[in-house]
Amino acid sequence: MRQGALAYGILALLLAAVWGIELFLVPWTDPYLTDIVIRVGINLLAVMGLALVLGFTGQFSLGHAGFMAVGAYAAAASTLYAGVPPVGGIVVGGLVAALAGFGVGLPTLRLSGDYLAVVTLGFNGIIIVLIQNSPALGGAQGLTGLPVATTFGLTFTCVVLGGLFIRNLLVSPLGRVFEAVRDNEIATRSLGIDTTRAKVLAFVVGAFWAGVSGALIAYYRSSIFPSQFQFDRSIEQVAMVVLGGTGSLSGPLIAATILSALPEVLRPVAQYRMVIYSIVLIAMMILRPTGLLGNHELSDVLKRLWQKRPGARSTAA
Amino acid sequence: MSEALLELRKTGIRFGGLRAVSDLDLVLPVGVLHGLIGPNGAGKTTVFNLVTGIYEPTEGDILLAGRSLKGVAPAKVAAAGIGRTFQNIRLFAGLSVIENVKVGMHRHLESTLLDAVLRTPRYRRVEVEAEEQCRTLLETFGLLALAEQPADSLAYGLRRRLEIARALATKPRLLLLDEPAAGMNPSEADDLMHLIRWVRDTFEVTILLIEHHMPVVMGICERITVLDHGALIAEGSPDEIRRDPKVIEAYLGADVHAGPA
Repeated sequence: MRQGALAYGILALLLAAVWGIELFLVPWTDPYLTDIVIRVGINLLAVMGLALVLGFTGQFSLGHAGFMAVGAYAAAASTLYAGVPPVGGIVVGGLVAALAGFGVGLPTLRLSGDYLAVVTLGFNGIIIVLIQNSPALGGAQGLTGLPVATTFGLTFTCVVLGGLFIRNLLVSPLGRVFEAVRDNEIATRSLGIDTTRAKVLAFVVGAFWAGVSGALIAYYRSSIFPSQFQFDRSIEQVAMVVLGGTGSLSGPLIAATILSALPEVLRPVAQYRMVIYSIVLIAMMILRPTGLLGNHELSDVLKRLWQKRPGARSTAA
Repeated sequence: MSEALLELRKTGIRFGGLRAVSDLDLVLPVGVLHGLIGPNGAGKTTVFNLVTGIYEPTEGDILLAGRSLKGVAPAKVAAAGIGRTFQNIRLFAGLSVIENVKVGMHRHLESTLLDAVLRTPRYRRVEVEAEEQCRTLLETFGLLALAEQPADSLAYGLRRRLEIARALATKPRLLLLDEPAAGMNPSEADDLMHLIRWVRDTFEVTILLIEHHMPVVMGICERITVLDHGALIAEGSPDEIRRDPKVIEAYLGADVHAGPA
């Protein structure tokens, strides 16, 4: 009982903090800074889904931006053609992307490793080409005239909901099964567990939050273009998960924050921007080959630091 | 008809021109502890892979309690009540010791995606029950003190024990153990064999055991089947097997201390 009450308490507290910041801090903040923070938040949503698929379930998906595209265009179309308000559009975007995740996942998750990577990469490309050649979706010129609704508050409400959704899932029996599939699929099957089903489930959940992320993009600048969801974005997200640590949720989120904000923070030294970005990536690979947090969570690391602080009573023998 | 739990009828498998197992007849009555021995490459592990659905037999049939397992997917075979361990240990390295066992129990846990995400009372009740059952199981295997350690931090012999505990967590009717004592010294192997016998008696499970440590196999198995070149060359009680000239020639006499490196 207590554990459950605590989880909902954390949810309420985080949402109160988000809307407190939205109401009392954002109006007095430099819009440029707010813009960066919102972009980070949108990336967080996509990356947490990929952390589940790649980091915890071990399925190498290279087409995560494709699911963002599905979510973005589903949300945009629902608003433009059916008058769905943005909050409803975000739900529509997530659900349609989840459906796409099911459609792609069911046949392809029987594949593994490199094959799955190629198929998901192909999916990303196909989605972009389909959109570019669909007049109803605006083709290469994109869709315009969408209502602007993606604020700090809305973005981070989604981030909090998504983060707790995935965290709760990961510490549940299903979360253990995801990791079991990653560590040894044959052994998982020998325990009577349908591993394809588990992988599809992880894929669908990851696609859902990528769809939500895409929908937020749709309602951010009143227009969307297919070029925003190309596969370089998928690769960037894979980099965020790997650099954050596969098998960690907070690690990829920290990596996503740093890597999304870095290009903006470095604007003053514009011409060296991409050089520094590359150096950071290479340095992380050399210094932290298992990623920023390895397969640990931020809370574990903080706990250890707290126990090691000077003057702390030693808990170990 | 007697109570046969597992029955292989003229079972065989062919990989291209190679007949890995051929014409194998094997009957395991409920509750038996049955040994499967033979030189390396005789097809013992292939028999396990046939029974667990990793390979589909190209000849003959395999029956579990009278129902054919032919063409049934590995997960479904396991769900039908067959647990196994692997010759090359396959633990979930990223999970803790107790989590490994909990994954074994997963099939028996009623907990959906929504339960997990919303933290319903049912979710918490199921978790508490699983925790208790897994702790009891770990205690019987002498692993309770290590419950929270990562599985890949365990010493070799303890990993083998954990793999057996994990297979038992699926609550199988039939347990297939593939060289559980491989790499152990004689006294460790002896301990493990007594544990296996005790498991059979306590959990009322039927066991098919592949093993190279002859003294212990002879000591605990009630029946023994000997394979060579994929074919059955003898079956009987340990005493009969020990005296069988064909077995001595193919296996026992040639290399009494046979065991994998």
